[in-house]
Amino acid sequence: MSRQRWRIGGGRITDDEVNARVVRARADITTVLSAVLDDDAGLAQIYALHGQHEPHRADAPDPGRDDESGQVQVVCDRIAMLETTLAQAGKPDGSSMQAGMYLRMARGFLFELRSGLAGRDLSAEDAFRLLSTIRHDLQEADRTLRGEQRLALPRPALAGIGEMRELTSEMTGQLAVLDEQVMRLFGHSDDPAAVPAPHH
Amino acid sequence: MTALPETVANVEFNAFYHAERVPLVRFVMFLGADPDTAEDIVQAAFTRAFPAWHTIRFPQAWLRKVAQSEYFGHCRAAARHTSLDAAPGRADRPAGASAALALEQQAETREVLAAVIADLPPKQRQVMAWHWDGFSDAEIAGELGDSEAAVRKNRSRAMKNLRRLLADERRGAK
Repeated sequence: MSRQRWRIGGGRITDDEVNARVVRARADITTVLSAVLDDDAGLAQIYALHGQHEPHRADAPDPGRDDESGQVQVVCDRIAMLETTLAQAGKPDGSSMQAGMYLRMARGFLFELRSGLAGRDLSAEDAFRLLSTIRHDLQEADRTLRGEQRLALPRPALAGIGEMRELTSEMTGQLAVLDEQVMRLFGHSDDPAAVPAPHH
Repeated sequence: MTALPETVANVEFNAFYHAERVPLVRFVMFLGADPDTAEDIVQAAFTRAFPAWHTIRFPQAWLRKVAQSEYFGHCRAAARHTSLDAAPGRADRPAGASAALALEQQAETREVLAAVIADLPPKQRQVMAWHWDGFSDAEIAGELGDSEAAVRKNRSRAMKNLRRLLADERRGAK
């Protein structure tokens, strides 16, 4: 309970009361706006202004296009999940600075991949090159961690390195699944590992 | 295949529009706009976002910043034609089936909005609109170009003002 109070003429209001009233007002506004705003009309207006087709309507489904977009969305969701995991693992104050650096780079390339896929401006070659670079960064992180595990470090530091290595290995596995998904998106059956990773 | 289908970005944009349009209109209302003006402002912000969608990394913040800027531009334009009152975007269009009419029926909501819009200074209103939408002091400071301390101070003063205003209203209602 807030300690701050305002007393005037017998009526007093606390911060909690103010917040509660604001929460109720926001909920009321949300209810009213949701009832009166027409999202489909709003979207159609935006598309028309930019000379594009109207978005898909629920009453005019196009299973083929929906399926394609759905597949991309699934891939983007997976990439976002990997990015989140790497954000935790690659924190600058983590157990291994050097491995953390590789993980942060991998995360940056994942973001690039996701943006490119979502923005539909990425070629298959670029997508596979990014995947290859990410794999390379994960391998470098693992190699670094393996080396650090051999050092005479305090037990907690070694435990942290062990956890990071486990996570890196898990990420490498996840990346293999992502490879297949991206290949399917581009209708490829090539081996993405054949595309050389650029040097940092 | 050299590029992914055009619908990919559209799907993301559409989903975001459906999820965020109402919160954004509400955000602009807490800045001081009436519902109809807020709706127009948000529509303009989404229209600007559309062609740049794949380059926008934090769309919640991006759209709020653009909407806020559009709203202040609207206020400045209104001030050139009429004296600027507390809610410069007040409707020129018939209230008809609009949200404004529906909100007239909600006494408590009307009181809270009136307290925020009519009586908080613009900076405090701005900080609170971002704060109530879940942005941290640091994020608000970054978006508004203020220091974190200034944001904290404005938030604290806004809460003090709201406590006083709502207590006054309660007293007046007795």
